[in-house]
Order: sequence, then structure tokens, then C-alpha cells
Amino acid sequence: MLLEFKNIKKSYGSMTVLEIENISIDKGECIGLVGNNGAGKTTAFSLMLDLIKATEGQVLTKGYDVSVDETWKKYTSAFIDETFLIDFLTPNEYFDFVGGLNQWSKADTNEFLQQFEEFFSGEILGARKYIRDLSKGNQKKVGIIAALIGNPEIVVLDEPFASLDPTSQIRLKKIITDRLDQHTFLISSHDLTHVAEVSSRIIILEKGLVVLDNQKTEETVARMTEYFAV
Amino acid sequence: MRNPAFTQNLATTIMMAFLGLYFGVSFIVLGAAAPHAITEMLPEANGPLYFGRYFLYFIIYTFLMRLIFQNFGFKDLNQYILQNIPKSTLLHFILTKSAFNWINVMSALGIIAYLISANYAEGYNMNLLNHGLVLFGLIYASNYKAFLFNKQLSINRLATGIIIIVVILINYLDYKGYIPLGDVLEYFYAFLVTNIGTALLPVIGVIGSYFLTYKTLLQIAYLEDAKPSEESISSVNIGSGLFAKFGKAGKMMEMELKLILRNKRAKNMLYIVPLIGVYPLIIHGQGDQMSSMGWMMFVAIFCTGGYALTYGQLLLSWNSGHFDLLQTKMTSIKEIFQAKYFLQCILIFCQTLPMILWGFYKTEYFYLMPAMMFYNLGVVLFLYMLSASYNSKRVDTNKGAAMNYEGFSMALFLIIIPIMAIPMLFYYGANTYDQPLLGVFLIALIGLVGFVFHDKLINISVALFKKNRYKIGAAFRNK
Repeated sequence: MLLEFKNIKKSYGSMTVLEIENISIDKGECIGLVGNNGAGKTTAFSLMLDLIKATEGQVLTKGYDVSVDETWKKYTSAFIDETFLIDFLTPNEYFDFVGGLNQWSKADTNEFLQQFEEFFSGEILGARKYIRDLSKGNQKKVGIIAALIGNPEIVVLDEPFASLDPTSQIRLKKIITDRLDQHTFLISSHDLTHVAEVSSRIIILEKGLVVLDNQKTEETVARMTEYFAV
Repeated sequence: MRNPAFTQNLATTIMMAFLGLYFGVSFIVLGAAAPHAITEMLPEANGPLYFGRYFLYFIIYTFLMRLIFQNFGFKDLNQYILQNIPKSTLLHFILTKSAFNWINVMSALGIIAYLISANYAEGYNMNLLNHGLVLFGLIYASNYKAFLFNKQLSINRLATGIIIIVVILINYLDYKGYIPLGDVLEYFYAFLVTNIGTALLPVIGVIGSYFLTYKTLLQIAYLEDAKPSEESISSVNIGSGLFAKFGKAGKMMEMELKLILRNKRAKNMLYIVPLIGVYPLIIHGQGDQMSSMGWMMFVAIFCTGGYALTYGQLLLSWNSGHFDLLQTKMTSIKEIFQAKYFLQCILIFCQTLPMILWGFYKTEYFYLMPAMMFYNLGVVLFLYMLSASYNSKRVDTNKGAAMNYEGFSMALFLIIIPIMAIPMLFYYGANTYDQPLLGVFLIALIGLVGFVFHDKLINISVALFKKNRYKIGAAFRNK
């Protein structure tokens, strides 16, 4: 088992925002985490990345508690929001920085990035602009691709389709599906169609509780669509 | 639940209020005391004109400060430019708001106190209206001129640097008596207060520079102007070979250098470096009482660690905007601390080398500078690391440095006590046995021990950080 949420609970004062009895994720799965605003998706990711403290329970990767052992950082990568970008660097400098942290040379990083040239639409690589001056969509592209640098086993992406134009959304879906043999993805999204297309397993969160956790089948997708229908 | 940042912000607000009160009272006292002090110290001088001479010096120095530190509020413009508010209203708002910045408010308090005091002082038969118009006019003309200069010079940092060097040079020549700048300023002030017509000239200057600034801003107030041109991207390749030797920590050090050079507040602090460099000259110019070994020791601490320490105070806060990335990407938290420590060491070492040259001015500096460098490397840096590991606050690196206390916490103020107390304890302890050099030696020795065992000390800081990491992370995310 690669990843496990074990009796995890996160509360702020008397308000519980997330309560998961157990979720186990195996290598090679692509988890689609869906839910309305305030469902607890980002909280779940933040707990997994040890950015916030669990009130109860543990998140384990390869059997180790992420809040105790830092080994998970070697094989886990994430893009949650702009706090994962360094806004005063140009995209190339940022990729080089992240590549360097993964002990990739500049040449390794550049070679890796070439395969995403189409996704970047010629607006990112070599751009003489700081990340803070890029559009929201291009910032998101930079963050997503940087999360793939180093070929991490686990990739966590929070709302990766938001802010992207339709063409880029399609291209991103292709990038994810093409790389399913290399990474275990955890992807949150409000967009049911995108999640249904890329995920192998769908988890629905509602007000901090898991209300559905099934492998993706036509029936699961139908239940998911029905659940969110007004 | 109450936001944890609330209590922190409250503490900062209380501190800012105290600072504002302190400076406000100081300016009022200075203004009120000026007529009496001038009469007592220089009974033969023309008091009002003598005041005017130094007021014009004040205008020159504050103009430089405005160019370097003043927040001109262009970011405010970007926030509102898409709202349903006429552009003219926005620009008048920014320009009017600047009239209440801290330099202007403090100066206004001082001027009012001076005018009231001068009205009752002996031998000050001056036209209060003329003097008031000139003094206020000069302050506000300088305020709006700085706007124009800032907008034009922002494309050319070199020009700003040249202006600062020229002003310092002229002042130095004036101080040495080679040029009569003071007399020229006094003559100019005397001309301005001659009659109501000349006294209105600075007021006309205020109105003129206000509308000129307004018209200039009106032409360039588009969102795209707020973004840098491609040419303004500064490339930092200096030392990348050197940093490569430090592995991941080196990558982070290289990024940190870019942070310093590309963000306003950190870069503003760089301008302080030349001022720190001439600190011994300023101190020893005050007379023999400032030339004791004890004073020189503190000068050496400041000279060898000035930039690293002012920048280093906010150790982790500088990275608050991308701290989640560092926490999840750096294989261990220790690497972040190592990178910070090594970069500070390099900065301290680079700053110390030229400072040793002060030994030709006062021989003691030949050994005091290296000794205090070790104190900075082995003690001060770790006290800042401990403080940052206990409590750090968010910093918006794009904001200017003037009266900007973002990132400062009570822990940071309290840590200054041991930084100052440790050398005092050892130096004055040894001095009571007539062994001041032994005191200096012991301080350097403690620093050297700290430097040698830096890895152990970093481990202590990391352990403390791990206990507080969730609290610090939440503070960094809290905008």
C-alpha cells in the first residue's frame, strides 16, 4: 500500500472539517477527489503533505507517518496553489530550481520540459517574465509541470483544470493519462467530466465525510453525476 | 474560531502605535526646542535663517529617503483600476494619501511645534506666515517631486545610485569646508522668506509638481505599465558555480540571492550597506568618548554583520510566499536552515573583508572586525534562527521598507537583548580586571565555537522549528 488515511480527523475548535475512517491507495491508482466547496479536499491534501496538523489519526506513506518521517518528500510532489510557486523567478529558473532539488542537471530538466511544449503553447519556456507576471492559467501550467519534475511516485494536484482554457484542459488530461504508469495521481476537481475521464477511482467528500469511494465504472460515474445534480 | 494572526497583528499594531508616538513626540520636542537651542548655542546667529539652513539639509536627506523607501501607492492603483471609479479620482486619491505618509506627518508636527515655539522665543522676530508657507511648501514640493523622480528613475537604478553618490559627495565636501553648501542653503532660505511673494514660491512648487505628477500618471496608468518590461528581468548567475558545491542548499542560496535582488523590501535593505560601511567615521567623528574599545566593538558587530543581520532577522519570513513548496520539496527542513546559514555566512564574510581596512584609521579594527565577525557567525545568526523557529510571520516581499514592520514579532525584538547583552557581559566583565582585550578574545572564541559546531546548533533550531511548524506555516499562509 502506497498511501493510507487512517482514522484521520481535522477540527478547528469545535468544528470538524474532515473525518476519514480509512482510505487506502495503491500504486498506479489515479484518485479523483470531488466535492463541493468546503468538502475537505484541500484539507485532505494538506494533511497528506504535512502542512497542517491532524487532530486525530495519521496519514501514512509506505507505512511511515508523514508528520514524523520526512522520507515521503523524496517521492511525493504537489501543486496545491500559488504558495507552491516562486513568483520572482522566471518559469525556466523555477523549473531549474525544482529540478535541482531533485538532483537533476539543467540539461535533464530542459530535456524533460520539451515534451510539454505543446501544453505550454509557446508562452512559458524561455519567457522573459517573472511567474508573478504570467496569467493565472500559465501560472497553473508551470506549477503542474513542475510537480512532475523528478518523476515522483505520488503526484497531488488540487483543481488542476481550473483557470485553464479548454484546449489546455484537454492537453492536461492527455498528459495525466499518458503518465499513469509512472505516477500515482491524487486529483481534486469540481469538474465531474474531467475527473471521470482521468480517474481510475472516485472519492466523493461532503462536509468532511467520505460519501462514495469506488473504482470508476459507468455506474460510479452515474452515481456521482446524480449525487451532484440539484 | 478567532484567527491566530489576530493577536500577532494586534501586537504589531500596538508596537507601531508606540513607534509612531515615539517619533511624533521626538519631532515635536525637536521643533519646539530648536529656537531655544539655537539661541543658546549660537547667540550671534540669525536663528530663523540658521534653522532654515538645516531644514534644507533635512529636505535633501529626506528626498533621498523618499526615492529609496517611499511607498508611492502604485500597487493601490492596480487594485482599483478595474473598478467603476474614474481614473482621475484614483490618482487624486494616491497623491492626496501620500500627503499623510510618515515623513510628511512627522515633519508637519515638527514644523508646527517650531513655529509656535519661535513665536514666543526671544530674538525670533519673524513673519510666521512666510516661514510657515516656506517650510510646509518645501516638505510637500519634495513629496511630489519624489513621485516624478521615482516614476522616471525606476527604469534606471543606476541613475538613482548616481544621485545618491553625488549628494553624499557634495555633503562631504561641504563638511570638509571645500564648498559653502550650508551658506548657499541659508541664503536660499533667506530669499524665500523675504516676503509673501517669495514665500509663495514653494507653495506654487507644490501645486505645480502635484499636477505635473498627476498628468504624468494619467498617461501611464494602465495595468500593463505595472508589469515589468522584458528588459527589466535581472539575471543572477553570479556565484552559481560556487553554490553548486552546496547541493540542494546551494540551489536554495541561489534562489535567495534572486529574492534579494528582485524584491523591493529586501533590495531596499541593500542600500543600507554603504551607510553601514561609513559607520566608524560617523561614530569617531563624535569625539573621544565614542572611541572606547566597548563602542568600537559594537561598531564592528554592526559593520561586519549589518546587512546579513537586518536581512537575516526575517530569516524564514522572506520565503513565506512559497514556504509550502520548500516544506514539501526540500528533502528535509534542515536543508532550508543550512542554506540560510551558509548564505548569511558568505554575506558576513564579504562584508567583513573591506571593513578590516578601517584598521588603517583605528588600529584596533584590525582585530576587532574579524573577532566580531566570528561573534556574528557563531552566536548572532543562531539567535535569529532560534527566534525564527519559535515564531515567524508573513512578509510581502514586494512592499517597500519604509515603516514596514511586516514580519516582525515580539520574539524578534526580545532576541536583541541577548545579542547586545552577551558582548557587554564579557567585555565589561573583563574590563573590570583591566583586561578589555581578554573580553574581546572571549567573545570571538564563543563565536568561533558556535561556528565550528554550527551543525549541532542548526539541529537545535530545526528541532524547535518542527515543534512550531504548523503554527508558522499557518501564519505564512494568512494574507
